[in-house]
Amino acid sequence: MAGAFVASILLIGWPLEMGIAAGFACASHPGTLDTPSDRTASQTPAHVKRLWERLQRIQPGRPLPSPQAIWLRQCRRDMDCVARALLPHLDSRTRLVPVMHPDTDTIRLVKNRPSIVDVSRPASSVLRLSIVRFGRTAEREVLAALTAAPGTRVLELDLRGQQGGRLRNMLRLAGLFTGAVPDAVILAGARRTVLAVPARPQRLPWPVRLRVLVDRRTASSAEIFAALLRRHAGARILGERTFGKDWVARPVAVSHDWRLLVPAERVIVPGESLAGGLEPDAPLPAMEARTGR
Amino acid sequence: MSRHIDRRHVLSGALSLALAAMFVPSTRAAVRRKRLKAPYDRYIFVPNRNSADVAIIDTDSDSVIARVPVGRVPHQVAVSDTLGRLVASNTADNTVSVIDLARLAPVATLTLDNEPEHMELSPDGRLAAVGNIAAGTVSLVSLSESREIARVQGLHEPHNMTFSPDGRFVYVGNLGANFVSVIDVAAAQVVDEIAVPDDAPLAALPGTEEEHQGIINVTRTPDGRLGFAAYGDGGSLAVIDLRSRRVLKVLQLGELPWRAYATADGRHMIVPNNGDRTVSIIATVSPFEEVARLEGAADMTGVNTGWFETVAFVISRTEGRLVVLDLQRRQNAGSIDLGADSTPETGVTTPDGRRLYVALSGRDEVAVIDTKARWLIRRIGGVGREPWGTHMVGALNYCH
Repeated sequence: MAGAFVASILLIGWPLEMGIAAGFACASHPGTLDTPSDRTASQTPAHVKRLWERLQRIQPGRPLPSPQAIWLRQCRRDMDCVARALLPHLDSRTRLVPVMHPDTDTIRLVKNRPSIVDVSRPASSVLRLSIVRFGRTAEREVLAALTAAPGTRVLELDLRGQQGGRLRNMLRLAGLFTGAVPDAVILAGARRTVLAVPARPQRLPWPVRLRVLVDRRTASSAEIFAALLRRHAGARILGERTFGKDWVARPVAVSHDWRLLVPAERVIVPGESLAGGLEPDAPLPAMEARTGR
Repeated sequence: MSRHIDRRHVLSGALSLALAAMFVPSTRAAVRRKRLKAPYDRYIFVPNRNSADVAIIDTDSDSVIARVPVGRVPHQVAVSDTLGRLVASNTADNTVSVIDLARLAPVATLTLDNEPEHMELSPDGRLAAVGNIAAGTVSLVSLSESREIARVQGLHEPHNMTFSPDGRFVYVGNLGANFVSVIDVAAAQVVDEIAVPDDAPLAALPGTEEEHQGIINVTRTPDGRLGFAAYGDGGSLAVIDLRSRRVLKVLQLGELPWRAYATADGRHMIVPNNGDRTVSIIATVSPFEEVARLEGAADMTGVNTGWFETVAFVISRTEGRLVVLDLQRRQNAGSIDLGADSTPETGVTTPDGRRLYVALSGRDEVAVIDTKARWLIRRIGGVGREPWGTHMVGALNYCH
C-alpha cells in the first residue's frame, strides 16, 4: 500500500517536476525569443533600479515603496503597472502619459510639425502669427512669415490656447526677439537651475512693435514666453489672465510607450509674476475677444 | 532573281529586328548581377529607399556594377567581410535581408520586430544588433546561422547601437529617453542604464505633443574606453567611461546637438548642433573640452572626415551642400555645393581618407568628393531610387 502510494506520487510528481524544470530552463536560457505576452515581463532590474533613482532625485524626501514590493510582487514585472502603482506615492500632479513616437522622417528632420498655423493681417501694418507650438522650425517660420510681409510695423504673436512644450525650444524662439538673456528663467526646487535665452544666429529683419495675445488657456511655456517678451523685448500682452501653470515637469521613461511627467521645479521669470497666471497689460478689443481661438 | 528576293528578305528581317529592339525594355536599368570577389573593401554599398534594392559601386571605376533586390524601404546596410555577407534592414517589411556577396544571392529574409532601422555588426562580423525602433526592442541576429537568436526588451526608441571592442556589450542610444542602455550580449538583457543629466524640463499641459530628441548614438573612441553621447533635448554631450559606466563630464554644447562623429584617429569628436546651426569640436582626452565651435548649416545629419584628418565635411540635407571645416586651423573653409535639389543623406570616407561618397536622395546619385582638393569630382548615376546612405568595409560608417 505504501509502495503504491509512493509510486503514485512519483508518477504524478515526476512529469510535474520535469515540466517545472523545463519551464525554468526555458526562462533562463539565453537567447530565447520573448513572445509578445512576455514583452513587459522581461524588463530587467537595471531599469527598475534607475527608475527609482530618477524619481528620488526629482522628488527627494518622498518615501517610495521598495522596488521589489511593487515590481516583483504587486506588478509581476509589468513596468506600466509599476508606474500606475507609484502614482499615489508621487506628487498629486504627476501624470502617466503615452509617448508620441516619431516616424523616420521626423527623426532626421525631414518632416517638422508647423509651429505657425495661421498668418493674418488684422490691419495693414499688423501681422498676426498664430503659434500653436514651439517646434524645431519655429524660428524659421516666424522669419519667413515676417520676410514675406514687408511693411509690417506691429507683429502679433497669438498664443491663445497654446499649451506649452519643451522649455528649451521656447527659449530659442524667445531669443529671436529678446537677444541673449543670461538669467532669463530660474527653476527653483530640489535643485536650482538658471536658464538663459540663447543668442540666435539670426535676428528679425527690421524692428517691429510686439504684441502677445493670450487667454485663460495659454499655459506653461507659452506663459513664460509672453513674460520674457514683455520683460526683455518690450512686448505688450493683450487678452486674459493666463492659465497659471508656473512649474515644470521632468519626463521619466517608464517603458517604450509610457512615461511619467513628474513635477519638479517652480518657474520664476525675474521681474514677472506667473503664480496664478500672467496678468495682461490690457484686454483684447471686445470683438477680438469674442472671435478668439 | 533569287538573289534579289533574298536581299529583300534580309533587309526586311533586319528592319523587323531593329523595330523590335526599340520596344524591348532597356536592360540598363535592370539589375546587373555580377559575382563579387573578396576582399570587399573596394565596394560602396548603397541602400535605395524607393527601389527596394542595394546598389554596389566599384570604387576602381566609380560605377554601379550590381543592384541586389532586398525588402521594402531598406534603411541601412552592413557588410560582414569575415562571412562575405551583406545585411539590409527593411523598415517597411519589418525584416532584414541577408545576402551572400560572392553569389549576390539572398541567403535569408528574417522577420524581426516593428521597424528595424539601424544596426551594428559585432567586431568579429558574426552578429548584428538591429534596433526595432517602433517596438522598443533590439534583435540580435546571427549572420553565420542566419537567424534571430534573441530579442532584447526594455529600450526606448532604440536608435543606434555600438558594440564594445570585445563584443560583450552593446550600447544603445535611446531616442525616447536621456539615457544609454547597456545590453549584455551573452545574457541578451539590458544590464544598465547610463543617464545623461539633466533630463530636459517640460513646461506643457499633459497631452501636448512635441517633437523629442533624446540620444541618437553613443560614439566610442577606437580603444573603447570612452563613449560620447549627445542628448538633443538637453543641449549637452556626456563623456562616459564605458568600462565603469560612469559619466565623467557633461558639456553644454550648442542647441539641439545631433550626435558625435569620431575622427578616424580618435582624437576629436565633431557634433553638429541643429538648433543654432553650429558645429562643436571636442577633444577626446581629458579634460574633454570643446576646442572650437564653428559655423554649420541647417539640418545637419552627417559628418565625414578625410585626408589624414585635416578636413571634415558636414552634410546639410536642406541646403544641399557640404560645409567644409579645416581641422588643423579649426576654422570654416567654405562649402561644396551639391545642388539645391540634391538632398544629401549620409556619406562614407574611404579607409585611405582620399575620397568621400555621399548619397544624394534628391538626384538618385552618389557624389564623389576629393578630400584633399575639397571638391566634387564626379556624380555616379544609375544608383537606384532615393539612395539613403553609403557603406564601406573598413570605413567609419554611420546612418541617420
